[in-house]
Amino acid sequence: MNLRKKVFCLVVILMFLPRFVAAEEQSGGGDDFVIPVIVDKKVPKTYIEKMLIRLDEFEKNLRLQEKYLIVEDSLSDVHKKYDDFQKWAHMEIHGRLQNHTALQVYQPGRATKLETQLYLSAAGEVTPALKYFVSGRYKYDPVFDMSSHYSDSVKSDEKSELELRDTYVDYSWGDVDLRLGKQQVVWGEAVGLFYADVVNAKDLREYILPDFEFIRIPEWGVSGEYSKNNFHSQLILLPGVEFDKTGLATSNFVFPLPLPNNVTPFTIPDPQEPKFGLDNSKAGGRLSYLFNGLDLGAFFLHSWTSLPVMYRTINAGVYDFHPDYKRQNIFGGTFTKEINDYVCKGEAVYYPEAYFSVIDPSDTDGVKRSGYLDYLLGVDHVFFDRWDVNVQLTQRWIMDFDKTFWQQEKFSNGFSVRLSHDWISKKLTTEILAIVNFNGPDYLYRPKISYSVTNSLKVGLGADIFAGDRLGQFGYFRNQSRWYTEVAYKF
Amino acid sequence: MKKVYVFLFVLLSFSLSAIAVRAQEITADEIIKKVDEVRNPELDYESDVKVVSYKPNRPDHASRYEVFIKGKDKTIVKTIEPENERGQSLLMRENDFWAFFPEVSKPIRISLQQRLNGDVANGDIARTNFVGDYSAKILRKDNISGKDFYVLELLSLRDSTTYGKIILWVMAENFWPVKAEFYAISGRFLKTCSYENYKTMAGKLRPSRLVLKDAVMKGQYSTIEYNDMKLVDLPEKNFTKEYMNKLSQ
Repeated sequence: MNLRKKVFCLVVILMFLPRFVAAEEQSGGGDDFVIPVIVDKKVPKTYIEKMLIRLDEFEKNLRLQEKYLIVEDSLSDVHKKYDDFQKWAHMEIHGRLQNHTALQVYQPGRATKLETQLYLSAAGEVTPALKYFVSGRYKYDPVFDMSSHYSDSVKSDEKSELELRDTYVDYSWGDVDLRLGKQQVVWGEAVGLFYADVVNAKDLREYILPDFEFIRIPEWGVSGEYSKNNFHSQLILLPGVEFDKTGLATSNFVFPLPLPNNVTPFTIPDPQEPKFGLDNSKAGGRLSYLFNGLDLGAFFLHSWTSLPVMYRTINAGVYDFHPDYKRQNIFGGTFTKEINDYVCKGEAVYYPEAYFSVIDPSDTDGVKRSGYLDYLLGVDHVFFDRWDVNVQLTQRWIMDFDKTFWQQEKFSNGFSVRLSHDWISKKLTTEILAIVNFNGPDYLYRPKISYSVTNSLKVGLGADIFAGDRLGQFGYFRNQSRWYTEVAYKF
Repeated sequence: MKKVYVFLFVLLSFSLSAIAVRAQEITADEIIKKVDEVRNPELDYESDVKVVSYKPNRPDHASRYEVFIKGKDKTIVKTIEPENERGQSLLMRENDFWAFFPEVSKPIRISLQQRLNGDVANGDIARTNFVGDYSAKILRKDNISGKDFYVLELLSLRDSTTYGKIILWVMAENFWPVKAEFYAISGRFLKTCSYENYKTMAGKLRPSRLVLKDAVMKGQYSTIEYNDMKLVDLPEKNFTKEYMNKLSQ
């Protein structure tokens, strides 16, 4: 080959080299390729050919889009006013109609619950900064009429109930949010337990079995929140103080009284609840900060004992109780942190100078005081992609414990585990929550299976099994172990 | 003879300059920056998102969400439908995640792993910036149907990204993403995604529909449709776990 031919070949190779390289590299990716289609109605049809955009016309398209955008921008104020009007005029109403039916496990056939309840809520906004929420619930349970087991006072207390639930207005001003009305304040991080949930009173007439949403009793007051970057603070003032509701005598869940064995005669007047007013308010605040994934919180609450302190006198062997609500300060802290797909969480709550019942007959009023600390450590993890597992260890430490304290130990240890799994595209959920009190020991097992029949209708089948030491916090309710069904229709 | 050499010299110069131009072509980082601009508005925005999951011999499962996105790493996903899940929400703040369930009435801290569960990972709905989250390199240029595409390989830079590796086809003319293959950090091929139905949203032509096909289960796929996407000024406080309760009402 002479020089001319060599040079010619070199030039030809250099010219086509980039194409050869590209052709060699090209592989795969061509399958199931979808050329993007412009579906915007503003794009003239002339630029769409057989639903495939003519790519060579794309530049023209863009220019046209820019023109349309200018028109859109000029109308944005009009749109905004229209949107604002729509939001003002629009009130969202939702609700839930549900039935719970429960049968006792150890006395087969005795129904303890046939409750139907209707929950309604309405939400809307007056201005973008001012929003409102109103909710209420009516429930009726014919089981109290179908059995001679219940006293008239229990029927009056639990058969039917119409109550105003969370109802408030929210006002937003810069980094500050204000909420005025009947509300729930939630400070805890734990799953299935109420350690740092210290603000709202609780409806314990069904112990801790209902949804937490309905165990907490909303309270009237004002809450102010300030958020800036990773910092959040909240101050609350709740003059409409509520107290825990518990089952009256002959109810399904009656809490035991601090009495020695074989002592029954006694009188218990109803405790006098503090009246609505600033002096009797619950007041407190919470600070939290998120730092490198560590979410830390600390709170203080000037509150009341959630249950009355059971002062008592003994006259000629007859026990007379004088229940009374007392002021109680509460200090607490929480944390959460994710470490390698394990979510670690903790809560600690300190009650200085708390009230404990004693059964020592020589004690003049049946009450002694001691500080105590409740705390828990927990971890969440997902195993095998779908198994959600939560494990929590709990402990109560009574600092000035003495052996006359009724149903208490210096250290009370507990454990809870929750396991859940979704099946069939999340239509079917199986779960079990087990709570163990090691001091009894006694237990609460809560297996449940629920199925979404439609997008609005859900049915469930489950059990609440109390077991173990009959004087323990769970074992005491052994006879109330129950099978249950749930049907809930949301709209 | 002299004319031939002049001709060859011109051809050679032309070829060398073509190679030089090729060398100065746009970089992978510049491409994914432009792709990000197409996929998501740079400013805060909200959007209505409908997700439908299709599985053989099973009824379709549809969900609808309101999605609020602030900055590069803050997202709130509020469930509107199905009614059974209405009021649930998910907060994503960089590497920290919370879920809110109305029955519990409080935000629950969840892990990245929990965030990724489901046919459509929450990371598919949230803003997923390629820039900053992935290192990119141009694998090749494909020519498909007469059009040029950049084929990019994106490798995750952070543990919190939804995918470990992405192979992305980008139209060279306009930097529209057209197709992606998603791989887990382990290297397992998870799904393909096609970016479809471009329409004007939040001031720019963007893909309004994503079709995610499972790599293993044939015939199993999900669609994500974006509607009513608009730029809004979203306050920082809306992206706190305390705000989730307000959002659920």
